[in-house]
Amino acid sequence: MISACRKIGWTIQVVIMGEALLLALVSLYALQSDARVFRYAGF
Amino acid sequence: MTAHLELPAPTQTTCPQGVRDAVRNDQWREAGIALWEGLTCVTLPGLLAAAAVAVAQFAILACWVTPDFVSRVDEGYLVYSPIDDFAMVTKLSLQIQRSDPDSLQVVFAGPSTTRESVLDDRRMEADLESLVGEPVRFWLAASSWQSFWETAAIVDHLPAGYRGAVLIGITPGRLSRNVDFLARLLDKPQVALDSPSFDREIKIAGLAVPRKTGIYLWDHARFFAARRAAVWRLLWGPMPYHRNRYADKPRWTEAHWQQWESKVAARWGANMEQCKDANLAVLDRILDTLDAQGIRSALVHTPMDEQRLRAVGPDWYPLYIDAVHQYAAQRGVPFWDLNEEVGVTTDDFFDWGHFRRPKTQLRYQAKLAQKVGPLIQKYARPTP
Repeated sequence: MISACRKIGWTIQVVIMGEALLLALVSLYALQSDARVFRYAGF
Repeated sequence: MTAHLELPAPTQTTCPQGVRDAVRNDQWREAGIALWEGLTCVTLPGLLAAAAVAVAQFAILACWVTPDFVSRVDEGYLVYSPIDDFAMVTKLSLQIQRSDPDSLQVVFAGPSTTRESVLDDRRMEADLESLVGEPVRFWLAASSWQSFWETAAIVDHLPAGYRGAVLIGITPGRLSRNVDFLARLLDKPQVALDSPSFDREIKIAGLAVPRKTGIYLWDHARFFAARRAAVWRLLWGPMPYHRNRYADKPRWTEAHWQQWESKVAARWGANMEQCKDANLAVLDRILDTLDAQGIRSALVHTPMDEQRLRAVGPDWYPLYIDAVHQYAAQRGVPFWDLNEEVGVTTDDFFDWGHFRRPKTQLRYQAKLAQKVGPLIQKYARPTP
């Protein structure tokens, strides 16, 4: 049971880190490319 | 860290209740500690596994977010804001591409003044059906500041064997777009459409065509990254899209005109003379594409407060009018200016060209239907 709990914890950690990594990469890309909806300046 | 208690099995009747509880509590505590260790102890295999999870998740997303998905998804999950015409035009173009080519259809593409000229698509379809004797699908693929480059991309999404007509809204703004505008479209794409015509226009303009991988989500990453906030709508629900947004709004006051007049004049007036021919050449290539497929087309001079525009641009507005009339005559393409026929007045407009009165919009679209009917008549197969 102890070993199973440790594995469950590790799996949750991996999934959370994976999500965070993807989110971080997307945010970094959005910041780096200044991705935003184009506004035709002045109008 | 781990304490092993040598206690009798909990099932033994001789074991007191307090001891059994102690054993149970201690096991739960150890399990909790193990779970916490698993959660917090960062290891290299854990990091590699997390990277693999991220890659797998992106791959799943890339398989999920396809043109087919975007054509079907509720636009409320796609739009950046309630006035995000660009996401809507993307969805509409992909829907047009997947439409039944055997059904009679009319696509009307253009900028915001085109968008505001039609209020009720279903009524437009009913009017057209009563004229041609067959159901007609009407698509209003209009978006703010839409250039001919984007219209070329929309036209590329007509299905093979398309039966019907394409209407193209004409405004001074469309004839005054310069290459800088196209460069900005590449930097901040308005639409997520794969279009050979659009790529060809980029080459003609002397700009570099972005590399394509064939993975829709990856190729249009900037379009989707700009709309990343839409992810939260999965929790909060879709955001309604508002197409006609000037209904019953008060007209611009003189103070508004003073604020905006110089911008309108600077934007359109400064570029009109040097850009009109290049923009008309783009339009020409769009019409060539349509002609090659046997699709009839017409140019629609979208609603405009001509009196005001002539006052704002005494030097460039006549240039624009002459250029479009001359072009339409040379090309032999119908050019419809419905302002007089509909009887629009200055009071019908919010500003220089956006209708603000639903009744005027309905009058305008009824008149437009009367023009479109004869244009698509030759494709019609009246039901007996």
